[in-house]
Amino acid sequence: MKVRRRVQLFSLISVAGLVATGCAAGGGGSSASGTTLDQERCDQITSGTAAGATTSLKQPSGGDQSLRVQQASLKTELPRATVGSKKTISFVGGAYTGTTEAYWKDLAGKFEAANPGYKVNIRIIDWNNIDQQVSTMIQTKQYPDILNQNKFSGWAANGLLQPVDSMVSPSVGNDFIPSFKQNSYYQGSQYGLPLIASTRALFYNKDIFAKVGIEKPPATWAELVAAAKKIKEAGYTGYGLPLGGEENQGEWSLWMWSNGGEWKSGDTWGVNSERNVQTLNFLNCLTHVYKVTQPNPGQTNRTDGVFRPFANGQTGMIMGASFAPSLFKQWNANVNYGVAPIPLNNGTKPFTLGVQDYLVSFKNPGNTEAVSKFLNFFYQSDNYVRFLTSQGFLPTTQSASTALKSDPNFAPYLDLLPIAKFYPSTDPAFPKAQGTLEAQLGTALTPGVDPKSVLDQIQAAATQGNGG
Amino acid sequence: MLLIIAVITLPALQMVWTSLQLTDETGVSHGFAGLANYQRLFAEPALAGVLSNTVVWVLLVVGVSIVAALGLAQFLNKRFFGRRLVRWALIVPWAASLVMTSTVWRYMLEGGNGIVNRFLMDLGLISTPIGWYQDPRYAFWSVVAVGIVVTIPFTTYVLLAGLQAIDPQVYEAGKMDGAGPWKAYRYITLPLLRPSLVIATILVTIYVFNSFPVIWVITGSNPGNFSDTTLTWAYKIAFREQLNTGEGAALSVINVLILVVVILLYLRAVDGDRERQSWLGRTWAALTGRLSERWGRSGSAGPVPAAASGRVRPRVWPRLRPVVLPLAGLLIAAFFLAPYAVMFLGSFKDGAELYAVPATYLPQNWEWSNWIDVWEVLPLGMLLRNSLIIAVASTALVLLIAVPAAYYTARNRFAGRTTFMKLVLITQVLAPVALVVGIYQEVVYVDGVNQYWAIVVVNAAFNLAFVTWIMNGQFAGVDVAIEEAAMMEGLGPVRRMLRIMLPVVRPGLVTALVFTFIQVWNEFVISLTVFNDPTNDRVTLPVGIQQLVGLNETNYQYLFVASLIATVPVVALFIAVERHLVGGLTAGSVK
Repeated sequence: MKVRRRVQLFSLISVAGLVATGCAAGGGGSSASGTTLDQERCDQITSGTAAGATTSLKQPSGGDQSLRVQQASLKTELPRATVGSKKTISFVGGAYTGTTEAYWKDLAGKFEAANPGYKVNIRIIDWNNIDQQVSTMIQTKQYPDILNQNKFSGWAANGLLQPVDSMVSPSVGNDFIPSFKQNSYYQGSQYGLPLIASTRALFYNKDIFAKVGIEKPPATWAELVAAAKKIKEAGYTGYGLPLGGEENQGEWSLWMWSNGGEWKSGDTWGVNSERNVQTLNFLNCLTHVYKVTQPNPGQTNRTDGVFRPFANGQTGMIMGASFAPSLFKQWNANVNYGVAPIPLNNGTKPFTLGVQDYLVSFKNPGNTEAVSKFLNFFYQSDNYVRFLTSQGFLPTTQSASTALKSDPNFAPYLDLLPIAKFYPSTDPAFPKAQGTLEAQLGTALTPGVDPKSVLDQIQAAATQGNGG
Repeated sequence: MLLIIAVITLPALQMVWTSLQLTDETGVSHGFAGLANYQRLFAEPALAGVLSNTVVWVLLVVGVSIVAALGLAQFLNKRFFGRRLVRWALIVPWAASLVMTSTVWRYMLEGGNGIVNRFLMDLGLISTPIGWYQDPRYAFWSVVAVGIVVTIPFTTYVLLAGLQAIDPQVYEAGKMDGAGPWKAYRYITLPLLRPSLVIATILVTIYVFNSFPVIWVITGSNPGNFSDTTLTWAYKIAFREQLNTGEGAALSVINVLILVVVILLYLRAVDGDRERQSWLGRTWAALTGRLSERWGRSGSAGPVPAAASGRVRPRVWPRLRPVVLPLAGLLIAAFFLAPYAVMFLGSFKDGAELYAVPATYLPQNWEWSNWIDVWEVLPLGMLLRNSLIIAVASTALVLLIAVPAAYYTARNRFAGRTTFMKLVLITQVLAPVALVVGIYQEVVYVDGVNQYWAIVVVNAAFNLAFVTWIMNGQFAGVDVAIEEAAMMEGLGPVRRMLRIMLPVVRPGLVTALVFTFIQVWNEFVISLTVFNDPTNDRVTLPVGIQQLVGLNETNYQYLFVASLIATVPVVALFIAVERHLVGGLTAGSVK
């Protein structure tokens, strides 16, 4: 009896604790941001007169205990087995689509036919499980010879990767689009080979725009709000806002940058800057004040929650991506839509978000020759272009860009590549900041939660190592 | 026994070790950290919420599903037209892999295009769609509801077995003494059902506590910790949010400790109950007393509609019975089959219609091609073959080892026997998700990555404990005299086993077989890690199906087809042995 009562008591206490913290956060929210958000304050954000709109980025308050210092000194011991040349290598990659595995298996077959004696074992893991699987391999020191991922700096900082610039022939190495190549360096060495890219743009439903009498896509936040309100009145979702865990770092980056905010200013993290708090407030305005989004944007995932309704003609505007058209095609959607630049606020310069994934190579004794052969084989123009067209991604090389210029699925986005901005993914702390953002950003739209506290959490994740 | 130590205990130690290490974001270890990971864990602001979620989750899911299963088991124990159908309907959710069931539930609980919303709106219960798994207000309760629905079938089977073991003569005697239906239930059924209830409670608690897929699939990608329990949170800490494997391991260690303590307390309470009325026994008696009183009073409000109305309208009942029972059975069957019906119908829809708003019940265009295309999209033949080989081999290995071990422990009283049996039970509380790193390391060490034998051995080890436990109870229940008689006839030990013992314990054997087969057939995390080599055609079915979940899109129609195909062999096996199954589940009671 006693134990049972204690358990009940315990759960009561913890529930009470929850309520208490909820209240505290609610109270703090209104006091931290001065007043609660209302129509007037929201309108101020887009008119450029809100407090903080003109101030420059503040330095983050969190200490910058860089991981690098600690990690650079620790070179992990690599298995020093036979240092003969090894001819069988392993390739681990993520499943971009249902055909990714088929592509790599086919390519490995061709490679083995062209290079007798060599063998590539392909293993493709879905993106839900790849982080856990790769982490398991690293903890057990079973490094893949080639890995396809969206990050590399953490492994580079631990000395697990080998520089790749010397592993591909100069004709491949010099072919990468410069901005992508620059984004593949860690402390002066190139550890990542740019594999694929995607860019973002505003998608708007032309039929809905015509119906409610809007002539051109919005170029500013104020125009976006006005358009979204009209669309909402006509019974559609004005703007589809996905802040659920799937890809909210992309959505967030677009809004942050279009308002003039940054992940990092110089070498210091600035996720919780005043400007960024303002951006998050604006997203709250869209949701709770203008009420032009779909329900529960904080928990909506991008593909199923925003792309799908847009493809079904239920949404006026979304932040689309270069790979979305191939999805629409697969869904047999015939939505009539236009592609426009990202709407801006505070007079920021036009940009797009560029996302790139990498191929990296782990230091396994004797693997350089085979890895190098396979990488050169993959980047041969026909093989590489076949990968891009089958998976629906943009190229990171100049030759492939030229080759794809005439493809209507790629052309509108290829022009955006030069103004692409990237995540600070060369910083080893970024994966953790990104993980925390993915897992927490959506909660900022829960009524009563202080947006600043959510950004503070992400800032803390970026600036504190696991040892701290 | 050695196998259990090797495959389960060592990785568990590895987990404890990891929890004491400083591990950075990429998984590289940087030396000993002492209790720093635990300190970080206890400083997490989300901890209190997650713990209370876990308590609510376990109490609610276990409690409600046991009460509902009691009613259902009672119902299924009656004879009526279509009973077999209802039992089969209950088998499907148990046999279907949890990941797939959760996926279809997630799909059903969607907002605008969710079929649950469509149904409720058609009934006029709600006016606008609700984001059941998205809205933080409902997310956790949606998950709890799904948890209950998927837990009921297994619980029902355990209890049904217990009910069937009750000698009808006891009821006859009770009737002569003038006991009405409710008194009979209160004073005969419940006390006699107690051993099954104890087992059901322990098994279901472990099952629910460790049920990772339900929460992970449905709300795992939701921001915040509104619906996390300790298990999903540990995964988030290790691989998603904090990227701190050490801290994740620390939480897993605490997780196991809590579960072990709870189970040991429960076992002690139940054991003690035999000699004296312990607090738990008294609570139990009081609780059932009150419950049965309430059911007795409020008639049809009880979860046993058939029996309840039997009391309220004794005159009308015999005439209504042939109609009402099958009808109720049909409703129950429909309820439990509904998600799979949605899956089946969904498998004929095209990509756009799957997301139509509002959701459609029947496909507008029947896309028969989905069922053909899937064989090209996935190497289904290879996947089925691998899963079949592994499941059959693991099951055989488990029986080969567990049967003699169980026989030995049942026939020989050696020091620490009860401790041994309890330890065997405790190995069950370790969730494979938490052990995967350690297991992988071992498999690498013995050079068994992507080898059939390695995955078979690992799978066998995970199921060995449970099977030993069940078979131990079975052998213990066989009269020693039978064996002595056989010995007189001059039969050697091996023959005695084959000719006498095995036929006698057949129900238990069948149970063990089915249970292991299902577990291995649906196992995901470990296969993903240690047996995943597409180049050489070595992938299991659940892992292969997961390929359909792409980075930016999920091909639900193919996913559904493949899931249904994957479920068929298990359901077929079930239906083939269902008759034997029911007798065996509870035989291994805690003695």
